[in-house]
Amino acid sequence: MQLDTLFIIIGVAFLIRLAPSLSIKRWLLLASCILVLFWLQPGLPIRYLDFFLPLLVLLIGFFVWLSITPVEHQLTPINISTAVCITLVVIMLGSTRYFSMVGIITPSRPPAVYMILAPFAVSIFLAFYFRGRMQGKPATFSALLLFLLLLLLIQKSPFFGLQTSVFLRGMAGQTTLRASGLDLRWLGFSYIVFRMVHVIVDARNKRLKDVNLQEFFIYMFYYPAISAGPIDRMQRFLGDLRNQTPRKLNEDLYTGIRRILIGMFKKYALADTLSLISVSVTNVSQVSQPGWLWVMLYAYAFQILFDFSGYTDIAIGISCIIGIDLPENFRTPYLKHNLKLFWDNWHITLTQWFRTYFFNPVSRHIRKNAKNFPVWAMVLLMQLSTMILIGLWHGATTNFIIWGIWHGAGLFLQNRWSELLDSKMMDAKKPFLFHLNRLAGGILTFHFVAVGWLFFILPEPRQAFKALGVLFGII
Amino acid sequence: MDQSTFSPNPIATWKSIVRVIVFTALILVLGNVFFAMINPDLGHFSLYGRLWHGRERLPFGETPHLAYNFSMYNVDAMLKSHKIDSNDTKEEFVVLVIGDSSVWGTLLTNEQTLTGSLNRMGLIDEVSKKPVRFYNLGYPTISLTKDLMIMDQAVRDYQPDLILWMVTLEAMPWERQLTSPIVQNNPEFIQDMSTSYNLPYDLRSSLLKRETFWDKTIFGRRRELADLIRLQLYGVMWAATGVDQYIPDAYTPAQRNLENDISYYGLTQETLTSDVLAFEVFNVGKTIATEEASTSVIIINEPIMISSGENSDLRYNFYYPKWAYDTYRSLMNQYAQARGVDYHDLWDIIPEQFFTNSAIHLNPEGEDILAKAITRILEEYQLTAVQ
Repeated sequence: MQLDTLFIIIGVAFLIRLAPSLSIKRWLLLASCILVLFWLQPGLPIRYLDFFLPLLVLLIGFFVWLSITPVEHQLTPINISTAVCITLVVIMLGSTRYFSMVGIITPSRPPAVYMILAPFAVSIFLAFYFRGRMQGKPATFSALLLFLLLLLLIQKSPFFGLQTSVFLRGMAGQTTLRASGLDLRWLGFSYIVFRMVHVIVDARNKRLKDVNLQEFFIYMFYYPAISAGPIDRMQRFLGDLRNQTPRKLNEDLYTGIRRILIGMFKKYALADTLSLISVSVTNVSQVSQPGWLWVMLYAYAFQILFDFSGYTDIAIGISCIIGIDLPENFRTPYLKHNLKLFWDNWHITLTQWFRTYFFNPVSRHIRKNAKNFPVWAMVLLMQLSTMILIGLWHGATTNFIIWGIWHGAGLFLQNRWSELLDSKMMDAKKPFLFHLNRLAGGILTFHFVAVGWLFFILPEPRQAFKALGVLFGII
Repeated sequence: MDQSTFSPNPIATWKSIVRVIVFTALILVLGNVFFAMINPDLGHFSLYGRLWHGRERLPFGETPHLAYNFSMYNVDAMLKSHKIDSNDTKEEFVVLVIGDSSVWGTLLTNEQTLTGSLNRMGLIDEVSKKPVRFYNLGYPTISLTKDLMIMDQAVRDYQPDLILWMVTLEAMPWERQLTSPIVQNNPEFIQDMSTSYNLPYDLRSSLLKRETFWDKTIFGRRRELADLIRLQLYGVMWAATGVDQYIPDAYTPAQRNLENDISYYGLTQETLTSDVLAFEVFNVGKTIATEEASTSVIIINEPIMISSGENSDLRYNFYYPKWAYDTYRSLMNQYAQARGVDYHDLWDIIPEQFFTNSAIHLNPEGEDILAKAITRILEEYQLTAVQ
């Protein structure tokens, strides 16, 4: 994110905070979330796609909301007003096509207004057609989940991404020779899908109270967290959004700006500087000495930490200025003495999401239905499958699967090791052993994670294994 | 972990916020003013030669992410990153090779450059019996003044035993002297040369950067500061990979079929005289070399491609119409004889097929031919190959 963009976003947050009432604050927040969704969407080479992708995600959001909201609560004044507001904001964005504003709010020239209105019209028709037939139905939830996973697969898989690009280019009358999976870069979609799945699953399990369309859209497309999380839970988020007790502006400003400055330092000073010497696809094959490759790998390990946690700090800081607390995402993960603790403190909200919506329910299901399933096998199966899924979320390619297996296997081994030896080390009468265990665990964990990053960075597993060979002086 | 542990600071009163803002602004202003007043020379600090080895050639490049190298304007810092700064030069017979991109080695690895070839010859100084070591101080912009600037600093800092100055006509016209960005960003050097040696630079030229008080502050020098940090960091990549230039698999060869055009900077055979060429820069270079290091300077007219393509009866190559280049050679000879300069004209020793993407860029074989020719010149200085 460019600095000028960041300053505008911070300024908008401040203006929202100064809103004279909670109601006005919400309307401003809704409008800004919609605007930012289009504004930060990367420009795409397929004609109008960088306008239609944010529009599509809004419409998907609308249908998810319809599916979780009882029919009698749908056509309320606040929901109708919200739908009208969103439509007007999108039409207003589309109308910039007719002014000299191309590239200012939207990355490229928006489509003609009738092309924007058509999806709205179809959505309204479908909404009324299915009204009363889809709300709260397991089949609806399943269909929505499948649809979201399909979109995620298209976005994350180079093969499906390429095929979709070819198809869309053909539709737009553009050459298919330049088609690429990168044509489908979609602002924050991975995070939005997580929020949508969370909402759908919680609604299916009756863990979600009614939420109006305005609140739903603000949660789903909350702009401070749109591009890099954290992934908040709706129940917690709405608590802050609905909070009538006024927060002290001076305290939020102080804390928010301090957090933003820390985040900016991490991202723009530390991460961007480390990126100059970090291991990459280009440079990894040019290095033959293990020592230098270790230096470059350490640089990458800290680059990714500072980059990601810097963005999170900025998001938390901006949100604090608005008056909403976002959950923490990083707590000194490289200082943890085992891999489980590392994952409890690295991208915390992602890990929690997978724990809540995959690990725990699937474990429960296996325990219930296969009582003789050995514990060690259960741990292995669940750790591997969870970490592979986390890997696939980053990209549906072999290297991310290997990265998932690396961490899944690591978590399994650490789990067994802890079972076996930790109790002896934890003996209070042996503080030396205890501290040695902690120190060695910390060093080992950091290096395990750092070496794992090779599979994360390098798309070709062969390249990653070769780099491993260089690192350990085998090649 | 779902609950945020991020809570506002209870001591953040409006008063303390204002205090922090005022205090920060004050520190910022005072820090900048102080920095501008002392105006430190930041180029002295270098990790090259300490944490990693020095570079084989000066920093230059437009694709840092691929070449781990980039263009900057602080000559001191550039030299501090060079191998010449960290090597134990007392045990060597040090020869500086100054020039443009043909010396720097566009499209060539360090081993393939002219200095790489010369170093492979394994020359020794017959007098002191020290091994001769050639240092590549070429820089890929064409201007004699740029050469002088690098030479001036290097001679003062490293006391070389000999200087090879590779030149070509394109670097000679007075009107080209200030066109190199590195010259434009070092106006104090131009001012100094003008004052100390009466070199007739146009000090009011809009090409020269005007330095205000603001430009001396931390904020004004932020680009220079960032460049210095980048230079140090790219040292890691240089040490790890040995790469300092992105060399593509394919390049566009130098133009062989030439335009039917014999103009040269609006000059004619009558107006292309020694007055329009910067011979005085050679004089100053020789003076500095003698006064600062008692060093000799050998000036070499570097090889150019002699095209055999279309219109090659009018032009030698993309750069030079025949009349202009022949006049230049004649003027150079006259100058060298008149001033007792050790000058060698190697303009036509390299056949056409040894040139790469420019009429002055050689391939590795071409560099070897040139290096052998230079070795023969160096025999006069009792620098000979080990038998």
